[in-house]
Amino acid sequence: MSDYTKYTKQEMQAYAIAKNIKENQIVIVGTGLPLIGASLAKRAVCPSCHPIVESGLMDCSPVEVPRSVGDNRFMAHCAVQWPNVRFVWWPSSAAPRSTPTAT
Amino acid sequence: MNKVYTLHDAVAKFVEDGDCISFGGFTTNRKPYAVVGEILRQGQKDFTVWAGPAGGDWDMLIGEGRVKAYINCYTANSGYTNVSRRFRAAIEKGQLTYEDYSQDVLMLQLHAASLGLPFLPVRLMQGSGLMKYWGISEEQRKALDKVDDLKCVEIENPFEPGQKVVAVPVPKLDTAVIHVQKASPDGTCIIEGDEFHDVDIAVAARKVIVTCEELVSDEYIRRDPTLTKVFGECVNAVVHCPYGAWPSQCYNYYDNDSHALKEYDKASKYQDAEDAKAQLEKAAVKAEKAAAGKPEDAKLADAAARARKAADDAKNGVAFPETFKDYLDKWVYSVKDNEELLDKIGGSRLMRLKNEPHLGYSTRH
Repeated sequence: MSDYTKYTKQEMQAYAIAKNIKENQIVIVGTGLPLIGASLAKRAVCPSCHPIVESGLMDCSPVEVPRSVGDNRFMAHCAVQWPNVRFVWWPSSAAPRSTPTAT
Repeated sequence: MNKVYTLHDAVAKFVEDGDCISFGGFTTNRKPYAVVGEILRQGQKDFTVWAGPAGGDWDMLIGEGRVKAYINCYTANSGYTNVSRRFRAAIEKGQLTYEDYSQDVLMLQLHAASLGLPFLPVRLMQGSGLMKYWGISEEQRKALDKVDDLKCVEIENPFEPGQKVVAVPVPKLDTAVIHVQKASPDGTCIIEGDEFHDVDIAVAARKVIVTCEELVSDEYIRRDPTLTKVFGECVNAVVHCPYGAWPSQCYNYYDNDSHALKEYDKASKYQDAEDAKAQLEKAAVKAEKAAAGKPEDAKLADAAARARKAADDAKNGVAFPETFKDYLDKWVYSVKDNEELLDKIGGSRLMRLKNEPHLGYSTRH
């Protein structure tokens, strides 16, 4: 059985980020620890979330942890590769739409 | 029309001293490094730069003193160097005339340039220090012919009385350089993966150099016009430059060369040997002071001894760390063109960077 007592502070931070991401949520992600946490969320904790990044990549779903928001690890396996400018205003306009509706 | 040039001739003809210039790509993705190397070798300088999300490309040109004014949102080889080191050192030493916009504003400015807008109203940066603090003062700006007189100005939205918006200038680009996957002799380009701001600057600039992984015929590139992204009439020069974005990535073609990016991260700490000696001595003095403050701490004592040895070795000429100058001598100045660079990097190393189609990157490097 795996030993879950040995983890670094950074690993716990990445896990805490992933745990705070909700189902169906649009997640605006930056380079560094945030993208590690968001990658973990997308692949393991809540796959229905939509990580989006300022390079214009929408609904990133990386297999390997990317090194930056422009990394091919994000560019492959995402939903749409928008140019950067598409990203700029859209997240604020989309916020109300992202609220999941009860079915 | 055939616009195919050698790397040397394209840069000699279309990159001039004092140009207002922008490069495509994103930090460590599809950066036009082949042209950066050629500019370094040929000596063009005094650039006014709209850098966008820059990385080692502009860090090298800043380190070599080629930049007159730098308009930027960030400069980093993300994941390797989180703030590019020659860029940072130049700012800390007050050697770089430098303006800072938020990334969203800067990308919109480049986009506005492609649309021919006279100026750009945004609701970004409001309430932040980016509006209040100017890297280049109004007075300095008036003395720089290729820098707009104002960074930004708050105006009223004529359609929403009482609403304040921020007007920012639109870049007037002389030169754009982009690296693409496929181009044809008439200048038509296919960009695979995210285009970033490459199409915007190629449309906006007066002179455009395209370097490409593959040079294909004008007929072949039009087989599927849904894939072509840059109209040939925007382009002045097409240069066939396989691995022309090395050591950055190129979607569908190759991954970052992490060895080169790590090497640059370490080397770019020191401008040259003199700088290395001074910085290592300073670090040794600091470590010794820390160790003296806590004599019982063996780790601090060990760190101080190691720092002292590195400083003394450099001072006595026993061992030098690789510096920025050494890196450029090795990877830029000692090769005459991109072919010689590829030979120097080596076939097997380049093959390890090759994209794995099922992943979109490489796991072998």
